[in-house]
Amino acid sequence: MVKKWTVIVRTQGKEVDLELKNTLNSLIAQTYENLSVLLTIHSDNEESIENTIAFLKPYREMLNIKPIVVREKQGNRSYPLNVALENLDCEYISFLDDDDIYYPNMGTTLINAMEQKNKTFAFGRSIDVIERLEKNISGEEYLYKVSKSKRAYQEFSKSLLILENFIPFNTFVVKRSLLEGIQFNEEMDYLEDWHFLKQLMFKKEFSFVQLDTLVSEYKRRNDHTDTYNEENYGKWLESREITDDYFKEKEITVKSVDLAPIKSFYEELFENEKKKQLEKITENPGYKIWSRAINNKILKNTVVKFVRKIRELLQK
Amino acid sequence: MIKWKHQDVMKENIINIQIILYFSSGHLPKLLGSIKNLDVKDQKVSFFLVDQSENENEYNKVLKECKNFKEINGISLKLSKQRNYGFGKGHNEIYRKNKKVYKDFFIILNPDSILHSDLIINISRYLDSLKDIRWGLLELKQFPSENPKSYNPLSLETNWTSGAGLVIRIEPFEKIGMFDENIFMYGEDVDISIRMRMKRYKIMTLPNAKFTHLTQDTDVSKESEFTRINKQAAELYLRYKFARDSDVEAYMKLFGEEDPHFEEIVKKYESMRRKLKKRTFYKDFVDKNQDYTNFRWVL
Repeated sequence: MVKKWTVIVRTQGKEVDLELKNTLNSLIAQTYENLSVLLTIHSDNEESIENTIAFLKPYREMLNIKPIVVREKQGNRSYPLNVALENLDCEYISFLDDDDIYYPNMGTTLINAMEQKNKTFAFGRSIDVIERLEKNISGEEYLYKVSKSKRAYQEFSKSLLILENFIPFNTFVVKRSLLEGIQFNEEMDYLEDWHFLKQLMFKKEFSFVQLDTLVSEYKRRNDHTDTYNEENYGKWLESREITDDYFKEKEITVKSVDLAPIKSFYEELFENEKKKQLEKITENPGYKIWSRAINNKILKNTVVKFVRKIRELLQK
Repeated sequence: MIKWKHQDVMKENIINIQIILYFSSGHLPKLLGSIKNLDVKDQKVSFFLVDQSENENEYNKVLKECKNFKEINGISLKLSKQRNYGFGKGHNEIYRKNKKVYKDFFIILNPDSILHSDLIINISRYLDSLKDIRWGLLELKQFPSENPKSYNPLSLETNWTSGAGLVIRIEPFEKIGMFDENIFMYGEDVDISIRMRMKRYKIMTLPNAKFTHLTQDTDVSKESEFTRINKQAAELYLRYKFARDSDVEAYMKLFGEEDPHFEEIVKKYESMRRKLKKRTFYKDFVDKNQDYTNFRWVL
């Protein structure tokens, strides 16, 4: 008997859009046989709630979806997730935001790995996608993919998870038994997924399997509103303080071998930042002129003579 | 500018869709489930499923799945079988048998698909809005993994269309000689795209006309040996067909004699090349400054 896997999708009952269609179609495409979806509709607007439920109708023919309407605590990101956690009757749980998708193999691959190795947590890799709304010749709006990039493979380490939120929300499956006593922190406007993962990690029963397999796409915004920016930095910092405070008394044993993933993570981050800065420099018109100049013999000689002259003058 | 004669492409609102099956019975529950779930409004949609497995056991499995399908909401299903002609010739054969009932276009689709419920409505919308465009092929959008290629986000024009889900306009399809029957599998969609473009028919992609295509892997670097061999052979054949011998040699050097499948790829290519009656050098028809790679991959 194939054990039940539940995917929790949270949506805010906003005007139903292209992204949610993609999310649900990606769940229909799952190869795992015993899948159910808990869709939390977090809204107090009755028309919006009705529209979302009506929108779900064709998908309910192909997918076992249970909508849960959550009217309380509007604006609180964690509350609908906690409501969903109280409605579980499954063996395995995952989460999917209403603008992300799973690849068809997500459930099968991770759950098979967990069962074979008798683990309580499994995760794979994600692709970052940037899309923008476009209008085309036929007059319709659609999501145009601007870029897709594989997230770097980052080896799991508990100490790294304390420092960085490096596991995307849509890349893991967790055994339900591991969730006992764990909730999403309702005081946090950001980083609630990271806080959740750290709680899991500190449980005695936590054991993981990590796969170098693409399992999902994670929607990134070009305008950085999906991460901290000038406008939300204050609230982001508050959330960061909440989660750091919560774990400050917790202890983990760090072996020297645990330091390698941390080192590689920050080295990669540094290299990426360096690359971005170099790209900015090379896009600078002054650099372009200089670059052309040093490749041009006559101009190069002229510039070198000029620089020498200036040096001579400065030395006098 | 050539003014395209307006034709009422939605005459009698019939959409005909061909699907070739080859040991595809495992995919049928989800495919047929999604067909039943299509929102077709006032369209009539006919699916022509043709089994090419040449295997009685497999055909019986397909038959069993299809027997449970009842015509609903104007959607009908017809099952038949034929020899394993491969992809291009297989679709040509189905087209020849059914073209009397086809109107101005037909659609081909892979069996490892799950149709999105709004697929037919969106195809109809596009056909209506593009009726004054001189198009030859309209590509359905694969989900979740799109083919890695470029398209103009405004005009929706692209450089080639995938045969996994394709709307084919009949008049240009017959004019260019239908699918190239020298190709067994892989590459015939690129071939037909090139020939359409040569005859100045636009080929476009339809971003909201989606279907889930259950490809073997979402990571294209993990494609099977069979796929790789046939794709590489097709790339050589297309260069021979449309470009110069030097283009063929350059591509052979690209994957090199050290490639473990080199001999098989070349053997397959040679067998296709021998059957080709006429080479068509693309530069006679297109901007003379383009080389094959640009023409093939760049808009």
